[in-house]
Amino acid sequence: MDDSDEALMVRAGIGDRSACQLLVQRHLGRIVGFAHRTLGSRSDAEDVAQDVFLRLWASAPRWKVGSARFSTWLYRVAMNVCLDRLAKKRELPDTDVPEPIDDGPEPSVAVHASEVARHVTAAVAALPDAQRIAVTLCHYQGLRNVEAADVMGVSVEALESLLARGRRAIRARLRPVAGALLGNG
Amino acid sequence: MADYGQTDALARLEHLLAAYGATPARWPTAERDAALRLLERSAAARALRDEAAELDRLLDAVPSDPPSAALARRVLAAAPTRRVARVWRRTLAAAVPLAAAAAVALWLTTREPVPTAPTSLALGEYTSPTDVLLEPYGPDVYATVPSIGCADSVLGCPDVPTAEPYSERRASGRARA
Repeated sequence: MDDSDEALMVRAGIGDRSACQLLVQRHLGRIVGFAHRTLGSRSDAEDVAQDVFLRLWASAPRWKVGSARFSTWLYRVAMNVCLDRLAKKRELPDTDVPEPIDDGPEPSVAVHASEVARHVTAAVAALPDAQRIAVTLCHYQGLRNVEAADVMGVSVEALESLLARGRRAIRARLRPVAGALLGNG
Repeated sequence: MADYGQTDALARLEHLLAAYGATPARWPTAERDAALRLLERSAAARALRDEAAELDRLLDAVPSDPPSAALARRVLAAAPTRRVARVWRRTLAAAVPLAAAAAVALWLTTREPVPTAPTSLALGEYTSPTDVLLEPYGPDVYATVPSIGCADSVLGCPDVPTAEPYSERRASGRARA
C-alpha cells in the first residue's frame, strides 16, 4: 500500500484512522519543533501545531494526489500560522517575545548545556522573522534549499542570502561567549 | 560547483559554508563534489569549514523535545472520522449541482440581451408574396378601407369614388369572358 504522505492524506480524507495516526507520528514533532524555534515558546508551538493539524484535517477530504508536495504545503501552513501569531503578539503592549539576554556569563563561570541552549535560543529568536524561518527550515528541519525556498516563496538565491545573514548574526551575538559555550557545551 | 579558478571556488565555498554550514549533506547536490575536492586540497577552505562547524555545534546544542502524548491525543481526536468524511462527501455532492445551477442562473440574468430589430420595423419590412402578385392591379380599396360607420361591416359598403378594385375587375373580366 502506498504510504507516502500524499496517499495518507487521501486516506485521512475518507476517515482512515491509521492514516491519520501515521501523519501525526511523522509530522507532529516536526511542526512543534519548527513552531518552537520560530516563536520561542513551547506552549505557543503546541497551540500552533494543533491549529496546523486542524487545517490539515479540514483539507484532507479535498486533497488530490499530485496537487502539491505535502511537506512543502504543511510547512507553509505552519509558517503562516506562526507569522499570524507573531503579528498579533506584536500588536499587544505586553508580549512574551523572548527577551534579549545579557552578554552572558563570565568565561570563568561554568556554563551548562541548558545555558548553551538558552544563549543559542535567544540568538536565534533575535533574528528577523525571515532569517529565523530560513535557518529553522534548513538547519533544524533539514529541508533542501529548493524546498525551503518554495515554503517561503522566495528564490534559492534569496534563501541563501537569508541563511548567510542569519548565521552571521547568530555568530556575532554568540561571539563573546562562544569559547565558553563550546568548551563546556 | 564548476571547477573554476581557486579564488572563485574558495569564494563560492565560503558562501556555501555561510549559508548551509559545514555539513556536506546540507549543501546543494550540484556543488557538493567540487566543494569536497576543494576542501581536500586547500587549507584555507578547511579553515573556513572549521569555523562554520563551530557555529553548527552551537546551533545543535538546542534540543528539540518530542511532542507530548497529550498533544498527539488532542490532535488525533480532531482527525476526520468515517462519519465526518461521509458528511463531507454528501455536502460536496449536494453543493456541486447547486453551484452549477446558481452559475447558470447568474449567467442567464447577467448576460447581454441578443439585439433584435423593433417590431414595427420588422412589420414594415415584411412583404407578403401576395402583395407582389396583386401589385399590377393597384391597391384593393375594399380590402383596406375600414368599415367604421358602415352599416354592413361584413360585405363592405363605402362608396369609394375610385376605379373598380382589382377583385371586381377580375370578377367582371371573368364574367365578360
